[in-house]
Amino acid sequence: MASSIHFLDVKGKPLLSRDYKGDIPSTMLDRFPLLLLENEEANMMQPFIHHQGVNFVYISHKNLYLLAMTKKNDNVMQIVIFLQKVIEVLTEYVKQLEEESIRDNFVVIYELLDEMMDFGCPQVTDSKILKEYITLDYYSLEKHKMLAPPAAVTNSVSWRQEGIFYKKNEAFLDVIESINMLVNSTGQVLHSEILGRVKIKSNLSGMPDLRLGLNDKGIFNEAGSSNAKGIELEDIKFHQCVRLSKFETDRIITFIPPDGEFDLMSYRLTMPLKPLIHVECKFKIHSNSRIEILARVRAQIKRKSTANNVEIMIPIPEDADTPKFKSDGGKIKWKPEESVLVWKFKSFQGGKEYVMKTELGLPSVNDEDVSAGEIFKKKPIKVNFLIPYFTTSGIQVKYLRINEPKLQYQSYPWVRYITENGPDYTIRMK
Amino acid sequence: MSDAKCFTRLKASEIKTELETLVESKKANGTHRLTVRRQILKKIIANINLNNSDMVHLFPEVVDTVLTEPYASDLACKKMCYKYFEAFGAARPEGTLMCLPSMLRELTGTGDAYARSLILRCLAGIPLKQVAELLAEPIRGLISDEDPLVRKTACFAISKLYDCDAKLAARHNLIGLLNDRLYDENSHVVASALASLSEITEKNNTMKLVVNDSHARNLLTVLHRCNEWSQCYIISALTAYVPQLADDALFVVEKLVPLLRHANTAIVLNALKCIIYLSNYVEDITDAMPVLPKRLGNAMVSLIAKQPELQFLALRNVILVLLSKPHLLDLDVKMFFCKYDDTLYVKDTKLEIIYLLANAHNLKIVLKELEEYATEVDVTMARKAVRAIGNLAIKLPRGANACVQLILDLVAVDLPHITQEAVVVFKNVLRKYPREFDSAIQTFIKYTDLAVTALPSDANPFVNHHAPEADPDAVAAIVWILGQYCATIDGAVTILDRVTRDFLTDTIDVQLITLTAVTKVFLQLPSKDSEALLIARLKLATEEVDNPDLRERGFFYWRLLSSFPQDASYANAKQIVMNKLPVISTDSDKLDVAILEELELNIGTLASIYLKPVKQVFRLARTRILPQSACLVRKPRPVANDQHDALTRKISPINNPDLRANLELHGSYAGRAGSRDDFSRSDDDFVESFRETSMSSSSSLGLNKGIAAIGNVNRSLTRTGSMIGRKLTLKKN
Repeated sequence: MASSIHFLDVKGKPLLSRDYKGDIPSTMLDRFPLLLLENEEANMMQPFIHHQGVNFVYISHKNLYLLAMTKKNDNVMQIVIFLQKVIEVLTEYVKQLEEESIRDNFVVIYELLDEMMDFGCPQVTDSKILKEYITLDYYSLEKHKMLAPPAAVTNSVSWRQEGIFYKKNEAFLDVIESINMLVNSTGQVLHSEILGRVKIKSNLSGMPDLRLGLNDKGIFNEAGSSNAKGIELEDIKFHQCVRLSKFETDRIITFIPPDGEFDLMSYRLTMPLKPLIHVECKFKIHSNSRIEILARVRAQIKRKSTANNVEIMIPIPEDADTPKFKSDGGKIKWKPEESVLVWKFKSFQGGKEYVMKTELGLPSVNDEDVSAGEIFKKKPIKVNFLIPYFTTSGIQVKYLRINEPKLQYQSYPWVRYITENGPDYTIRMK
Repeated sequence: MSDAKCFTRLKASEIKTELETLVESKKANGTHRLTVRRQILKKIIANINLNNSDMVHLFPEVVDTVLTEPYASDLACKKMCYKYFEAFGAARPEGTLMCLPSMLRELTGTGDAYARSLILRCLAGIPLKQVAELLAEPIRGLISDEDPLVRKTACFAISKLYDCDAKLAARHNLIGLLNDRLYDENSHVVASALASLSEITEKNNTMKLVVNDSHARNLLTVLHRCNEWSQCYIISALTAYVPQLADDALFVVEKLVPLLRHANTAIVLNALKCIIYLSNYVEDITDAMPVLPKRLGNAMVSLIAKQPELQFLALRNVILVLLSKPHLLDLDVKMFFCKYDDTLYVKDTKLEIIYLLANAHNLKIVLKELEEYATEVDVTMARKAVRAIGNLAIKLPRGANACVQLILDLVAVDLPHITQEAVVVFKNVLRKYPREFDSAIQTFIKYTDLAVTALPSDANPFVNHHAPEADPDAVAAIVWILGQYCATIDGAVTILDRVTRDFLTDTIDVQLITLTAVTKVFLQLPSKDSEALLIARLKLATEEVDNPDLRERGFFYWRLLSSFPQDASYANAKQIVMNKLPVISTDSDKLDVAILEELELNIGTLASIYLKPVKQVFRLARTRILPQSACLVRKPRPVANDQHDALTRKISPINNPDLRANLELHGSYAGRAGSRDDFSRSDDDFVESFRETSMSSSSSLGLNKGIAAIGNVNRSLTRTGSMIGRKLTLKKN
């Protein structure tokens, strides 16, 4: 596996390094900034670099690069996932993982790196478990008591330790669906998918065994009891606590949850959807003088539902200026630095429709290069929104049974539903 | 308290003074001493991180810390001292050996398990033979320690010792100790032993990890009792299991399928690798498990919603599986349509997948999507999209018409980079369907000026300052089309003359192709104009060019045309120059089975992103092959190596030019390389350079055969010809 792990700043200057194998000379690391630059210039056809027998596998996080170097034909997926886990874990420790916080906490980070990887092999990356024996503040403890890794590190339930206690036992379930959609300029939906996830915040004592019931067609039909309204989740991914073989044979989701917040499952559904927030946009360019943009937005959801924080980002030419807005709802802002108009609604009731008209001036002297002025038409319109109490797929939590064999306490599950835009909710302009 | 201020470069002597003042200060109590000592150690570690090698002089002070109370029992101090030893232990063997006895005492004692595992991790991490020597004995006890944490650490420690001194490890039979751990009651220890063993066997060519039947079953039950990383190691180890019966293989596959639902992508990909591997041992796995392709496909598609790096890795491996076992992946091409914000490398990889997945059924939507990319702002992407359309025309004969129509539509958009690319792919289309698109040729020729746009036009040398660089590929393609199809093009001679006006400054590829083209034009349309053009270009090539390949080519045509003065219609020359061209194809089945097989065994590894035979990137790596077994199903080797194949280069669908080059090296082509004379080598250069710039399957490769054939026919001519050639030039002068 990886020979070494490095934290580097945005220019590729090393901040902190942990060498696990010592088989790569440090001079290789010095070459990284240059290689990075070269790779960028060469149009970045690969996210990783191979140079003189050394492989540079890196991901970026804010203003940092997290780099793993290896000489062997390693499992690169494993390395990348590990690097991401390192970021996740460290962020839990220091809140903002950046140059300053790395320096401020370098001793703890070293300790964590030692616990998370041994001789290049990932070991424990569960922040909840790591926090049990590696803490930020124990350097300030006067009399330092011996902190040892909990038994969970080598137990079969490696993500939860025993002896957790809450006065009030509660579990909060969030079902969040993000919608990705690609609509062409004529309003035809080219591609639509739902990316859903079930988040749990568990405040439960002891070692509770949970069983989650959903109205998933697969789950219900194959278990015998039919449910015509059930939906079929196409691809499901579960947190490591879920018993996968149990799900495979009986279609039942059972698990002992980690303490605190975690993503229990994610799923994907590709089904034909109507755009929830539909935008129509027309523009007219009066050459060398101004551009007119006409847009209409409609919330195609139930009247009872409301979409919150609706933001419609309409691309405009880079050199446009002096905007004049007119609309029957929402607020319009011009963001010249991103060349977009942002049309905002705090809340947007289902079934409502609004229209806006914007005029922007264009420079009278046009660039020789015609295509530059046309670029904005190639950018799609993006839409952000959040609809509470509603899932697009119709997925529902039927029950969440909580059973702690020893303590036998009363517990309260809470469920919340949210639908929001995914990273790719776009409408093509042309 | 912020530690950032520790990051100032200090000299060893400065830290020494600081320590001395601490020791001498009388009023300081115990806790204060401890805090200050910790702070000093922090400074040392920070300085190590700054690559300050001066810190090595502090060895005695650090040893002192580890040996004296209260620091010796302080975990924070200890951890930092161990860090120091790992960094400098090898540089100061005497010092290390000094503190070793007390550390070993604690290590083998009955103290806290965590403390012992820390010592073990530190000591094994010091790459010093003396230390390894002293550890070899205690590790026997530690690896069967009653605490699983210590056992786990010991597993990795053995791997470290092996790395440091392989002979020592053999002498003490440390590998045997690891083997015993495979039956440990704790699943984490089992996984660690496996990880350590595979690490060791990878380095050593004489050892091999073997997982037998009962062991495989044992691993499968253990699998659900450990954390995600341990699961990774176990699944990887399962690729060392060689099933003897198809049912055994199926059994394992069934146990692995649920793992495709794991949130950890590394596990998903490892499971995919293992399933694909085991499918080689079942006659028809889709028969036994009809849902498998759907499950594998879904598992891969869900990875596309992840971060770009992960997407890229997943997509790369999708390509790999599509090349070797397309029937095991049920995918919808729409899932691979690019998103506006995708990074370039993700788009690029998706485009390859779209190309691989395109078939007669989905061609319509695929072309619609490709058209979208082709008109994108990003020039690289647009070019690639156009190329993909052309390649589809060659891959799907029934869709060729639709593809060509789309290319024509795109050319009409009038953007130089699109036209340039379109010309290149159109030439390939003509090579595949020599006479089907004659009518389209005329349309293309209209845009020649666009294709070679950077040639400054005489009329207005300032207008074109925005134009992109001339694309030699495009120029070469247009010249080839002009030469080959001059009979169907109006004014071919004039156009050819204009396009090749800057003969002397053109790239060597264009120059070579120009010579062939003017000869073809002359032979097909003998006239005063074409003769003048021919002589003008040949004269330049033979008299003003320094490149011997090009000069020789000039002489060759010259001699060819003047060798048979009695043959007024140049029948002989025509037969040679206008020889029938071999048809190009995109058969992916013709890829070397052995290389695909190896790549398949390396799913998820670095080799899968480079898409190269493992040996090429990792010289020391072991070549992996499918182990023999009674139920191993071998793919039939493609009919290769017959005369025809030996000469024709196959176009691989892989867009990675390097891989193609490599695959060909390993293919039948390699054998031919030695037998060629200078003449055809220059064509090779042409082909090579062509290949490097073209995204996929540049069918220009096919050109080679025609030229090679000429080379063969005329080898005798060339050999004896040089003297005559020289005389000829003398005469002309």
